[in-house]
Amino acid sequence: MIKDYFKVAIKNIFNRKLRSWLTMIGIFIGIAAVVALISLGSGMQKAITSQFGKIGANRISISPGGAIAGPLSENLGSGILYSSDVEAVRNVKGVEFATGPIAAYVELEFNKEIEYVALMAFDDDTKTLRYMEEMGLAEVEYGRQIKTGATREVILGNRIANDLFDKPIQVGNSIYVDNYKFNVVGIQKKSDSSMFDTVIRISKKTAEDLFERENPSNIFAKVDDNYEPTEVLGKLEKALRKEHNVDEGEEDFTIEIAADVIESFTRILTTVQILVISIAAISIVVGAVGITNTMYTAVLERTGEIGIMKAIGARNSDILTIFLIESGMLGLVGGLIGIFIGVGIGKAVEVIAKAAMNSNILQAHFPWYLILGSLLFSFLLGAIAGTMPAKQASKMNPIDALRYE
Amino acid sequence: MTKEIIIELDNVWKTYKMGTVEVHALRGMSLKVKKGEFLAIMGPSGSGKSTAMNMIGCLDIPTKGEIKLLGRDISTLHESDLAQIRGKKIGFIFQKFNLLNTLTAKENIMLPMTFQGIPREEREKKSEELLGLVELKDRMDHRPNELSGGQQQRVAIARSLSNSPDVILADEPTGNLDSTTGERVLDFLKKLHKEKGTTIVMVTHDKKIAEQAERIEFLKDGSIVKNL
Repeated sequence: MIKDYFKVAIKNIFNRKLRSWLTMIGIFIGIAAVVALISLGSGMQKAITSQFGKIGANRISISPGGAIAGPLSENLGSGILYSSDVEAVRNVKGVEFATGPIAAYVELEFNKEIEYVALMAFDDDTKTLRYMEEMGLAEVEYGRQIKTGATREVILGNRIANDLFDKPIQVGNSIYVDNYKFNVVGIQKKSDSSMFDTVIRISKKTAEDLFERENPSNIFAKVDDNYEPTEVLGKLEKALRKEHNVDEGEEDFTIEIAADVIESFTRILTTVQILVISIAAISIVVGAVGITNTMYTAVLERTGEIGIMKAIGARNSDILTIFLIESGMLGLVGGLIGIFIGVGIGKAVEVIAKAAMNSNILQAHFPWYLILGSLLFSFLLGAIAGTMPAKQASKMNPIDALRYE
Repeated sequence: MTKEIIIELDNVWKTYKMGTVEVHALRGMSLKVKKGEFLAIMGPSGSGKSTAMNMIGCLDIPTKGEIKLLGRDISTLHESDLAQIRGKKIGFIFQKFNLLNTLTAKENIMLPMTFQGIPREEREKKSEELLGLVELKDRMDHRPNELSGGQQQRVAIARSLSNSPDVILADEPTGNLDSTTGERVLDFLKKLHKEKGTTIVMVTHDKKIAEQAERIEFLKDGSIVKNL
């Protein structure tokens, strides 16, 4: 019987095509916005999680400057990490490995063209190299890694090699870093994040010798699998406080575990999503009111029809069901179109973002629950929006309805 | 052997309130219809014909008095029970045909069976049979606006028979038709009565039409009179 009512509802919707389309616009704009926004948000969340997933939950990052540094805090940006800190970190029980890369901003000359780029200098031992490869920061596409002990070898980020200069730089070419001649031994694989595509990499020893820098920009550490990362974090804080001679609460350094960073990113992303979806919800509410309005008109127009149906045996509940299905279908079809448009928008933004930022970070992700949930939601929304008109229809007196012209 | 009484109206009153004025559409109408009878209720406009029809057809309940359909008092029933009775026991034929324009002829005939929860296959079979009976099998997929008035009324007759009702109520069934088409529709009703023994109650203001029935009751000012 319900199947037959669905058929009747679909016939009625098709009978007043224009009005049905206009009614559905409100719903499908709202649903399209929600689907597009959630898909992009969830894609972004996935990308962030996978980025940090590479780093691993047991990876610790220490950076200069206080974590709770407010705008007026004197700790803001005032911290410095020292090469002795790397040793202190290594000595903490539970730390399997630690390295402190040097970062600098350098002048890069190739083929008489000059550009300014970021330089990263890591230890050139195999352990550090493996660690960086695991993090996805040091995968070489062409050529090879810097040999242990080699002094004038450089590896270029993918964009530096291909896009920065008029002529692409190739393995075997010579370049000048702050006027020192270097031999290009490798070009990095394009990374998920464009930041690492615009960096050049030399060995830490070379950076210390040539550029007279020794303080690390950050310290990366890995916690032994047998130890609890948060426990080690506490010990690390204690060790560095002693090293920097500061009290608890006045740290001029920040220690983060990858898991915490993922969480805070997710929190920010969720907040933004809730805000934007709330705005999209306004359109859905307006759409629902549109359905209510259309259904009231339909009930009025089809009063005679309701009378006929009642005369030939339709109970109040039959009439109620027919009209609820009809308004539900308006919502459902609106939702279905909205999902298609939303998927289209999501995909379009993904393509545009990829072209504009040269990054895969903004990828639309369409989980099944989003699609199914949107469909169910739009059907229920339609049905709820049609409840009052449907009740009015079902309670009509058959004689009055039959007499209605 | 006396035939079973299928419809019985006993001192039925129907009063409508129009503002502060009370209008008595029926004033103590009493009537008995036997099973298999073809009865015409005749009366001028305003005599209460349609109100009487609504009462017999369970579309409305009386203000006072008792209506028995197949021995069951329906004057105090709830709307949902009345709907069930209408669907199962009564077939309506209206002056304005009252078919649903969005449905085809066949679907219109199937609809009362849908409300009774009859399976689709059975509905299809029965509706095709009934379309054959009213000689419109070739028009089954046409919508009402693609059919002539006479054809529409024949579809309505077929629809009224779909749940094999105990009684058919026809309210001015030829009122919207020309005389030739009207006669044809009446012939169908007579044929139904004669061949299938269907009980038919027809309301009309037209003497010529009323005379086609077995028995005529006259209605004037809301009650049955000997003659007009």
